Amino acid sequence: MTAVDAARLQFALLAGTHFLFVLVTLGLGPVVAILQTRWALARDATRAATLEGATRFWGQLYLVNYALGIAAGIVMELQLGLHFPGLLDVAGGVFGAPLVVETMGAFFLESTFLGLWVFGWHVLPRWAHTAAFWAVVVTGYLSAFTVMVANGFLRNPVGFAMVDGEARVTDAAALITNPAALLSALHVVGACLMAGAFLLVGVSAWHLRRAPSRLPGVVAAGLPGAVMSPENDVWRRSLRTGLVTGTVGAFLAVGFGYAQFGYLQGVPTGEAPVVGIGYAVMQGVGLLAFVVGCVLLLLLPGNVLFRMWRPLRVAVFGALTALLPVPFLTGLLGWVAREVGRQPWAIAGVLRTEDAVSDASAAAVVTSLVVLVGTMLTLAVVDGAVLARLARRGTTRLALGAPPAEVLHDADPPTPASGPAPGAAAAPERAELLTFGGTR
Amino acid sequence: MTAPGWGLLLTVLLAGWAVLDGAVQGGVPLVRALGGRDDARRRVVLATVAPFLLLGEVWLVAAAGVLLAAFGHVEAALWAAAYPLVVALLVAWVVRDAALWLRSRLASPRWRAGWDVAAQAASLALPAAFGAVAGVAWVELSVVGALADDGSGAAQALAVGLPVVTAGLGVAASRVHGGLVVAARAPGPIAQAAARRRVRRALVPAAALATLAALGALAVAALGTASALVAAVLLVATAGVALAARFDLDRGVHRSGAVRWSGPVLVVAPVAATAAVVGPATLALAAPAVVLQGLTWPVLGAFAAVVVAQAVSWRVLVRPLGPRTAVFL
Repeated sequence: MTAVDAARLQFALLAGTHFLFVLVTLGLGPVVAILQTRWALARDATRAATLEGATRFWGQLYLVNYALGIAAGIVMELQLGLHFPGLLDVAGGVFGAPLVVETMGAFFLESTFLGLWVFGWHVLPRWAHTAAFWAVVVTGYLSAFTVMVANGFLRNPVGFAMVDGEARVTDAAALITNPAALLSALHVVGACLMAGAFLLVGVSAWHLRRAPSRLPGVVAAGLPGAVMSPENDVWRRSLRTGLVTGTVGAFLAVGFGYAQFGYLQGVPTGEAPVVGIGYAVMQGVGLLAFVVGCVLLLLLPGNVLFRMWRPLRVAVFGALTALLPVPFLTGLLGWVAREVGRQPWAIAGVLRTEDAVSDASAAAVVTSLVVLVGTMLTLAVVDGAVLARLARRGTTRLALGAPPAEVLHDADPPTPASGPAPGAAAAPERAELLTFGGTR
Repeated sequence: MTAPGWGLLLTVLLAGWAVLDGAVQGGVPLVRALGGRDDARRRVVLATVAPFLLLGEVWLVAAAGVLLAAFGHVEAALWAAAYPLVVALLVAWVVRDAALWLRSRLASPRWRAGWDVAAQAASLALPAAFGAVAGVAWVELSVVGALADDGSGAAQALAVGLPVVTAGLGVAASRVHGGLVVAARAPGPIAQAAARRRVRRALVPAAALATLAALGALAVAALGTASALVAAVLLVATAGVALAARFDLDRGVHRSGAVRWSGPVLVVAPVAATAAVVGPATLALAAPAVVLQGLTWPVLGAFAAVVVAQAVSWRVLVRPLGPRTAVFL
């Protein structure tokens, strides 16, 4: 394997991993924000409790996903300088601008507000706490847009002039309104909303499908759809929200997908077969998701979806859960189609990929490929497994937003029924520590 | 904003990271030591540094963005010279983050203990890798690199020795700083005393390594990079602060200025010293003035917004641990 191949493969695998987390972050973000807003506005106590549970459940999944997303993003940021310094030498003056705005502004604010949201949970007034999460969502989308401006410049370079072999911005507005940035960003927004929605719908359907078995009396009494535990209410609301956002997302993804064919006519593109396959799959998945989403939306009034003939309902919910990976695989394929479609260019018509790579030896690049990709993929798989466990666990024992006393004891061994606990002498000191110095 | 302005911004961002993330790098190694086998105790130690995680590490992300946009050639040269160290830095960072976020998500004791070990190892590797990259920058962005390539024995010895010393200094400094943060924020007197004992033990190695680094800076200055003299003075002063802090702790005075400031001074000193050593070469490699000018307002505007947001967040989050503290890690 040559150093060029290794550098490209490393970038592709790391960017692919990062992209999976981004899909969830951007897709779930608005949903959590909407749920929390409705919780903040709810006057009825039961409704508020349901919405609080939903906010904390989806917020916790958002966070566990975000933890690895930020890590994968950090690795991505340094990939450019590490393996494609030619890109910075030729186009650092153009390409660096959106990236510095991203790191210095959008992402910096996003992480700050997220920290405020998580660790200021019991301190901030409810409205400020909700506003903090909206700020996370807005800056997250801003962050994604700046990255698309950088990526759009590679695909369709506009608004620049070459001076002494280096690109210079001549028209910042053209750079920002580049169709390869604007239309593609809206397409990606649609894809993210779809991914978040599939997650929302898939997990909720999994819980709803199992729900009746938990209340055998109701099922035995033959009351279809009569199961209405508070937790079921969380899943129903989540499923409804997911159907709405997913259908909107599919509409955006397909609409702005087709809109991109316009500018692609004038840009040098590759002939790799994966590009054609990618386009075909994306069209198929997007259109199908939209049609199915519309049908399911029609079943929402009167809760028809939740009151259907039970075997049919179980089958539909099972299918919705099984389809969960679809938008993620499609998103990856779309990303591959975009990047491979640009080859052999790093910047279409300006800089070839082989001229952009560093002169690090193939052995060094392969070693870092094994180390970095190995670490990231391992962590991604572990993170996915944790997400699955948390999703299955449901709204019981949520750490996010719980009082500290509750969270700190979640791994304590059960207290023995009789006799003093071992190490009872240390108990007052431990109690003081775990209540943060008592109730002073 | 001119190249020196961008250089100053980069230094401020790195110093901000060193202070904020340094609290996590130095606090996490105390988790197992202070918490023992009791998971809840371990989580209390984690809770003392938890707010610093999300709000701290972005400073390095932003610094990398500034490096890429304003000093792209420096980044390319530095990454080429320090390739394995940069990869190690990334791996340590990623493992540390994953360990902290994932440890408490499942209740299994083995799961949690395993991640605690990983977090501790990564918290050693992260400041070490960052310090070593700084040391490589001292070599590559001063006369030393060119002289070593020409076969000068003194320069070659410096090229090997400097990254080792700065790596050690990075670790020792983070231990002092993080330990002091835990000592200040831990709720129980026993935990506070234990954290302070650890700080006391780390202060002398920190002072010794700062002195060694100062000698290295003097050598760099003697070879021809005059700005390294500033670094030598800074590092000697830092060693003095560390020794004064140790003296105060030995006397049982743990609220003195020297003790309180030794942490921030120790973690910022390597960054400031690096800025002094590599400053002239870095500014010479800065992006063209027209590029820097074009980016000035977006970046300064973003920085102003960030400073406001962080200031508000710190007001909310940095308060004594209590019943309203959110425990998530």
